[in-house]
Amino acid sequence: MREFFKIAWRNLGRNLRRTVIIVVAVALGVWGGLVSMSIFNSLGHQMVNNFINSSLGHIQIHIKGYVKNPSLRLCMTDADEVLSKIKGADHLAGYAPRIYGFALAQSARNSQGVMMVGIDPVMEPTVTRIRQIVKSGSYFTANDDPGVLIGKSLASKLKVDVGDKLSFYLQSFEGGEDVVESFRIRGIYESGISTIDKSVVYLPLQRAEKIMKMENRLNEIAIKVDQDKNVELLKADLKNRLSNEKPKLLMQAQKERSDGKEFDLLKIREPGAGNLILAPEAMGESFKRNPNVTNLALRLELPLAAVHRTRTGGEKYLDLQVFGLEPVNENKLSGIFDRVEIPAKSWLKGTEMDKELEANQGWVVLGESAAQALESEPGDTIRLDSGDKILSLEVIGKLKDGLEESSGKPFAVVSRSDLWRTFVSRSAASEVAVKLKESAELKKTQDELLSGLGLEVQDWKEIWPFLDQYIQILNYTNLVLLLCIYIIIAFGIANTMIMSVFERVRELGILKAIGTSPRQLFGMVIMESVMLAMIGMALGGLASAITIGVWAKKGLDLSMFAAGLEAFGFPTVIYPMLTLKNILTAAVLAFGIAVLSAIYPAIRASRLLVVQALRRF
Amino acid sequence: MAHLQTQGITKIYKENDVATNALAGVDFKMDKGEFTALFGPSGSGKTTLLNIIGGLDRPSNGKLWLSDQEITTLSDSQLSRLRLFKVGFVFQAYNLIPVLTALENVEYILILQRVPKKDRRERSIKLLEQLGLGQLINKKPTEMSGGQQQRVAVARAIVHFPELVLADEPTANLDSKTAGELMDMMARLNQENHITFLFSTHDHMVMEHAKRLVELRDGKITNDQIRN
Repeated sequence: MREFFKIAWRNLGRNLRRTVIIVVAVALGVWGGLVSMSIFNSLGHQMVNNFINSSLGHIQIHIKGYVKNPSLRLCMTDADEVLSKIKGADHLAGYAPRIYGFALAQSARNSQGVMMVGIDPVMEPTVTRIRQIVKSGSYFTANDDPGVLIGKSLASKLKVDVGDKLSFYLQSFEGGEDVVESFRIRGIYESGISTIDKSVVYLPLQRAEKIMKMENRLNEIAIKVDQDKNVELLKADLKNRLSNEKPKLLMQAQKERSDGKEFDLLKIREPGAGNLILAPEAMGESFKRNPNVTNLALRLELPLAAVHRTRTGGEKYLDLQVFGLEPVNENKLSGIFDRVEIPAKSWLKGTEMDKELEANQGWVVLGESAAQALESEPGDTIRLDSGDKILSLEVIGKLKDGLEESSGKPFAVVSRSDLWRTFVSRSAASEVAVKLKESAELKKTQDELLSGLGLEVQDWKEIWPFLDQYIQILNYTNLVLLLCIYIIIAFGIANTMIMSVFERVRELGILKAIGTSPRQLFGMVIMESVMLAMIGMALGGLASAITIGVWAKKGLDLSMFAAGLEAFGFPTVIYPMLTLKNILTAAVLAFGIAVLSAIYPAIRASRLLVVQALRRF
Repeated sequence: MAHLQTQGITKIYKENDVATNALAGVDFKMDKGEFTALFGPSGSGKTTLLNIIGGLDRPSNGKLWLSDQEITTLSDSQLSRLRLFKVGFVFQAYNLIPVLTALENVEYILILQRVPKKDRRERSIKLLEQLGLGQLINKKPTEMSGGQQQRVAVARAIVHFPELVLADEPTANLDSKTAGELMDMMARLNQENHITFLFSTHDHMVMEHAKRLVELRDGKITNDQIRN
């Protein structure tokens, strides 16, 4: 082997000029390949870092389904508990709780759809560079600081500057009418990512909670890991810590008929009598995403005392089962509001009652026996009394007795929001009623609904797969570019080796004549080709190490393409870098190409007919 | 059985549908230790016969045995091993490997035979010194004269103690003095080391050295005589 190596090595020196030319060609190719790889690498790496440090973080926690369908209501309903579980996780460098709400931002001169992001002024900088990217004005100093931070592109679109006022039209957790709020612009930031700069408005978390009615609720917790390599470890730890966040629920199914069709109705409750589902909107929002769910309604049931001052001046008392319903959703589900009897002169006559009631508050529909016992007629006012809280309501109509849920007790139907606002103080429901499609498989849908609840811990690749895909594309581009370069090199090497074999036919014939086997001759030619490639590879590698080293220190300024690059989150000054994988890929490919390109001449050499070869001069 | 025996060897070359009989039935025997010259005019089939005997070429017909082994039936790789272990070659144009030194050229065969390094080096140096080439062991072929190169070629041909050394017009490129010295050396190796030589030539001086002369004409042996 050593002897063949020696012969192959010395053969390279026989036509030194040719060898030098091909070695330089290989070196230039390798240099070009490695340098372009390093540029692509750093573009990808810096882009990802830019996203991670601007908004994404390494890991994010959401309620399941939020990433696919971001909605204010798909939120963590017990934020403090979730945050307390996160604290102290290994490799946790920082965490940032956030609330996201879509809004329309309006200045005196223009308007633009934006994303309002409520951030904790102290915690947010532990994950992102938010503090550093505020270029004019100032960052928040306290959690209830007035004012907002907007991106430079948005500021120029809305033609506003620091100190100007902006109005925002946004939805709150409870839905209904848009909330209108005005803020002064406290600072203008430049994140380097144009999509963020033109659409994201930051405000302090406490303010966002108040405006959007999101107290103790969060849409997102962004997490920063101490070192990139620990992302998986931290993710696993967080998943473990948050694994109990899935609610334990009772799910009761019953067959219902409507318009001659049979369907399943699911009633989801907290286990334990009288236990309420708090912030059921998030759960409802999650259920609505399931394609087998056709309608869904939240129901709140409370036992309350009713008091009616009769027309004769006396007071009637009655213990009632009070159902707080959502008129529109409930009517789609059970049609209950279509069965309400109202007097001919009622203001509700001729209207779509469910929608009318949805938009109004302070009404009550009494069951027949309740109305009788209370001696109450439509138009009367009754009081619901829990002992410490009172809700006065106008009786608008009657329902026949026999409401299944009342279990034969006297009952009343009111608006759910009236009921929880007065007696529970936060949004709650006794049950979530879900109507399934006729075709839905009951068991499967039940499982899907339950598994859709709880929290989701995802890393940046899962949240924004395009970032990872982009890196993959860059890697493939690297590979294709390298292959193109190497294919050209391969022809050069093949040409050199064919010439080399052709010139040495007689000599190879002698080697064969004196006992060298065809396989040994084959190997000798391949070895020669590999040596050519490896010398070129080493020189090219050295040259690229120097080039990349200089650029990595000084930075490569691509600002002439800045506008195009920034749109994709690319940096304008890049610091080329090579990974061990890149170097190994380049080396292995160079080796492979050297072998492949020498196969033909090597076969020619090994198949030489000695007698013919010896006749050559 | 003779050390080397051929039986009815023919070789027909076909080129552009024209057949040429290079060998037309050669029956030939040779014993161990012979120092035999094949002679005859150009085109008489000397080189063809040597190539076939050395396993470099195959006969069109006929059989050939070397030390009791029939070699006409061997595969290419078996022939390759046969050449490596049993035959030594000396070519007309020296044909040393130009990138190797004299010592490395001689050692090469032993490397192929996987002889341990120390052993092969000692053997090669000893042989080169024995052949008066001690000063040249680190010289490359381009740094040597024709005669020196051919002596190295002889060393390469015999270093592995082959059963038979085939030399195709070994003196053709040498001046008469050098040719004489080379033949003396080969004759001495034959006498002292009992190496069997078969060489082709049309040089009378070379024939003078041979113990047996075999004449070949038109692919047939026309004369075979032992010289005293």
